[in-house]
Amino acid sequence: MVLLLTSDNEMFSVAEDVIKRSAYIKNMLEDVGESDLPIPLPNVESNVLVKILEYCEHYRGEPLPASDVDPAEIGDRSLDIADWDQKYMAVDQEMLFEIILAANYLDIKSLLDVGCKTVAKMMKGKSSEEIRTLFNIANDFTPEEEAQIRKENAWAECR
Amino acid sequence: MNLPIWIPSKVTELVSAIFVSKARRRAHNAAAPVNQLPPEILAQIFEFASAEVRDTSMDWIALTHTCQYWRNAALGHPRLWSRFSFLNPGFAQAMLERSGDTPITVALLQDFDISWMIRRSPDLPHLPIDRIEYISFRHWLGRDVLRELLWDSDDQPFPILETIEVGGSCVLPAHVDWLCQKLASGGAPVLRHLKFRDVCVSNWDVLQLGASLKSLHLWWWQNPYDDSPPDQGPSLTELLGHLQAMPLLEELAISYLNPGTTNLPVASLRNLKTIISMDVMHTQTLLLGALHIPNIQKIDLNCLDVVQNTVQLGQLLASIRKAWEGQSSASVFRKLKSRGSNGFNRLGNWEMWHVFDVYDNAAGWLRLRFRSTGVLFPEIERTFLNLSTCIMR
Repeated sequence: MVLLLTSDNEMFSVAEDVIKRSAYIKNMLEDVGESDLPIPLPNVESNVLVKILEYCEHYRGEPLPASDVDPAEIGDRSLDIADWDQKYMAVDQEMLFEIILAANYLDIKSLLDVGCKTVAKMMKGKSSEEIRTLFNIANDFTPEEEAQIRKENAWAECR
Repeated sequence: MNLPIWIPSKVTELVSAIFVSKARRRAHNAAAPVNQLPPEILAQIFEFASAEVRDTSMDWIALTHTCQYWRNAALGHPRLWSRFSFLNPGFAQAMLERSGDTPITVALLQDFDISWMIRRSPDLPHLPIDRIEYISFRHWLGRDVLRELLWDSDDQPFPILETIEVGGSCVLPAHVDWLCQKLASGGAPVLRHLKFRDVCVSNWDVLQLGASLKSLHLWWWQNPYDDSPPDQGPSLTELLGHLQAMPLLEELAISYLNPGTTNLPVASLRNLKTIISMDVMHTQTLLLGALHIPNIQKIDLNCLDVVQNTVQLGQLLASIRKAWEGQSSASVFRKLKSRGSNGFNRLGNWEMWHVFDVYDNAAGWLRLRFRSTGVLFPEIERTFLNLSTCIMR
């Protein structure tokens, strides 16, 4: 078992084959070897770690993704998300972004991809105004930036 | 003209109100949950959001018009701009600039009406040959772009081109010869993936570039129920000769080979992980019989002809097991599933057949599809049973 200590000081005891989906933890275990000391996760709160572990548990036993996959390869960028992953990601925005941040920190590429795809799907086909409303963002562009944006919008209209 | 005395102070008031408002908006945006994501993750999200629509629309640019943080994330991520778009000259130029020095992808995959654009407006920037890493034209409109690329490059090599993926509708025979000549004469020294689909190649010497190839697709498509395959592929002897010189090959997809002689050389491909083949059963038997692929993980065979007897099938299975030496054992054929199917044959008669899928998750993955009449089914099942330890239907 591996001990994990979250930023809000909660301790988790997790099976090694579950948490090894995190390349960060996997590398750490390989470097440090067996230890009774908990691994501190200063960037992950307990409620988020619970979600992360739910994901790792679900995919327990499945092969880890190859490390030599070329991320730029065409066809690797579809927005298809497996049914279970879609349900898993049906959380409020705050939690969604926390999951993405934790997946990034813990280096769980498949989870990071699912998170990014989920957000990408939310944005797809929306105007910038609709996206601002969706994510509660204000227009903070300078007049110069606004002028450049108008020019870029003209490209789309000139097709 | 004298301004009323209150006007300068009003202007100052308005200007400062604008600044306060901007500052407030920035602070508001900085606190937004989505903006807690670092720029590199935001840019990754933009890549996903734009990937499927890039060929057909520039609407995804709206993502970069949301707020300063998002725009800076997008502009600071050259890879977002590195998949070239042909939709607008101004946009194309901006993409080239924003992609910095990153390798670029030139792709035309989808079916849409940009014929006016593909006539190559003189305003479109010339593509920098030395930055092209990936060329993929599956749509016929790629024809002119490909011609221009070849034309522009003249004797200049594509120094970092790793993948070329071309569909037959994108090339004229003259282009293919030109392209093949260029590739065969060292025009793409780091080419790793060559994928021809429905491309008529007159000189298979192009495959001599194979020493560093990792994927090779020579694929023709035609009605799978037409038993007379087109005479387009290389002969088996030719192909095997070239495969012998491809030690790094990991993926091979091949269809409609000319079987030629039965006295075949053996090609040992220790790195091959995937083989996909569509052909008549006899040719597939010969091909697999001449391959040594001990580390194969996926075999996907689609047999075009109707199996008339199980001798034929037994020969193919023996070839597979021989090729798969090392991983195979009886377990290769552990799980057999079959399903009935039907359709018109080439004579227009309604025909029933079975499609067999054979899996073994331990040793690898094999899918074998062939047609036979229902009468033969028990006999086919027995053929598999003789080879396997356990058959599940």
